[in-house]
Amino acid sequence: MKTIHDTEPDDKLLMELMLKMPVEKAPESFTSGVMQQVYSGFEPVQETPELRRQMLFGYISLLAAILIVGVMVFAQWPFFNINLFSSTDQLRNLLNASMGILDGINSITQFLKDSSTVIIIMSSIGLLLIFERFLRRGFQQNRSFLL
Amino acid sequence: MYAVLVDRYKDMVFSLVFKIVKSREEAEEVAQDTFLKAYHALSRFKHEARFSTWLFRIAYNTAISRTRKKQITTLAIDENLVENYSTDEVHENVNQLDEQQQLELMKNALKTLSNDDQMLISLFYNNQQTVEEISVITGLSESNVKVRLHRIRKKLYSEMNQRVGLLHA
Repeated sequence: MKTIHDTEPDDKLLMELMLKMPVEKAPESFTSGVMQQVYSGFEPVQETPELRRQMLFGYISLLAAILIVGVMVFAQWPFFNINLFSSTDQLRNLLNASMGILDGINSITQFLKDSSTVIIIMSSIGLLLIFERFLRRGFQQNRSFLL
Repeated sequence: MYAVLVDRYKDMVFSLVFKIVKSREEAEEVAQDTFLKAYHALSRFKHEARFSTWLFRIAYNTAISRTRKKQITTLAIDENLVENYSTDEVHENVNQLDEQQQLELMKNALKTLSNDDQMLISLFYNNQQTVEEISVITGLSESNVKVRLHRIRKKLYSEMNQRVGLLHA
């Protein structure tokens, strides 16, 4: 014979009776009340240690991106053996070419076709932005402050 | 989108906090606070537990802090309630009653439980939370939840057995 000590954790009789018991219900207007408060009282995300850490990674990534782009544009790295800008004339020409919209776009397109350096720079920036996004994944509904 | 979640869980949350604060007005405020807190913390929900467990934990903590009540304390294992009557007999007697009588019997048996015990048994049966999940919600150890549920069942059976005996007498 089964005694009270053998009662199964999911005892059927108690479960049936408990499920039949009337439960306290929230008022009809409860959902609309909550949603009204949600829309009217949006609170900014609280600054937590985790958030600060993520922000720090974000800023480090951004700084690294700017530094790398700067180095790639202005530094001469002969061991890479790639055709970096060797004089300010080239930069000035690039800037002048960009000023006229149509001529600029045309020139840039031509320049991109001719130059692998710019493509490398753009790819580097793109990769860094993607890297930064991975670092900040899960924060602020997966949206980066850069993208 | 969030309104769907609120609609789905509002009664369960309301019922849970009502068992702690014991007032409809206050239960409504606590339940609203719970859903607002959950909304602002949604990005921190890591799917390590069921959404309902995560929500009930917020509800429980909000209700506890509102009432300035202490959390459920750890329960020492105490077997003073041992009574060797058969559960089969209780089942049989209860099943002979009509539904209204069964509900009345259960209602009276539940009244003999403390508020905390009513909440625990409700989490287990009504809200379908496991022992592990109740442990997460209340902060009790799993073994304490098991012991507590075991004692609550014994108490309910004992009460029902006494009352059903009176009904049949």
